[in-house]
Amino acid sequence: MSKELSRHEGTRPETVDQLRWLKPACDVFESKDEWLITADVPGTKQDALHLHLDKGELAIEARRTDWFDNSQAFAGWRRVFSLPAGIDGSKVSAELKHGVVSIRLPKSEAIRPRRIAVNAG
Amino acid sequence: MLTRWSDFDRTFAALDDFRRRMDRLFYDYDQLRDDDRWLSSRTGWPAVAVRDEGNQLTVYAEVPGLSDKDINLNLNQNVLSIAGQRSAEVPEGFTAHRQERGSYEFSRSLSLPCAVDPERAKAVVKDGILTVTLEKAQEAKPRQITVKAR
Repeated sequence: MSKELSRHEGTRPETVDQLRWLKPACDVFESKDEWLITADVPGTKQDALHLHLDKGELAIEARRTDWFDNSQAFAGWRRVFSLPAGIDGSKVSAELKHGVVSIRLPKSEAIRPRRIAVNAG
Repeated sequence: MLTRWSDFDRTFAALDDFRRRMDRLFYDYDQLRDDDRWLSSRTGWPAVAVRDEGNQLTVYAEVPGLSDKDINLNLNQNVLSIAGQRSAEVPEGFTAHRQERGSYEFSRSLSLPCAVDPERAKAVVKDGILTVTLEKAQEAKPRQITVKAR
């Protein structure tokens, strides 16, 4: 290896984007009909919150525009969850209130638990 | 005999130094992994920032999930206290798989860097951010000093 290259050994690669993303604290709940994910994203306005559901992954991205973390070169909140199978993507809904986003992911009809009636023979 | 004791002391001093270095190592490692953690676990709850804007001080606090009724603010001389309660409970009919958003009963006090005018203090909570605006007392405001050429 040339001297020029070996000089960079042990240096961690740096990202071009200097802004950092932090993971928001999240809760994940499950009921028999749906999953509920809540995330603390203080300082996020509705139009700066983006949710993507693709290939069984839910991405939460909340860009911040308030001053609070400009001081730390902080872009916002970002987190991706792998979802369990059987979520009805067309019925996913989300609500943002007081800097907390709640995402409801209804289970598809096919995987909901059901009681099986036993017939007397 | 006493000289023996000082040898002993030196041994412990070396151990102390070693321990400090180890602590430092773990700390550095944690810093590298910083973005894997959420802000609240780093700084206590709620995370707070204070900004000096010349004629006023602005205090910001991240209080996701709280509305105006959940927060108590107190200004005593130059100490600002933020207290309140946040509950993040499992909703009815659900079971929890992951709970990182804690329930907090919190109280934080900040010593402000200068005297402020309590009559003109204002506080707003919006989108989970509490903003407290504190006008500086007259004597604490910055003033321009003119420089004269001679």
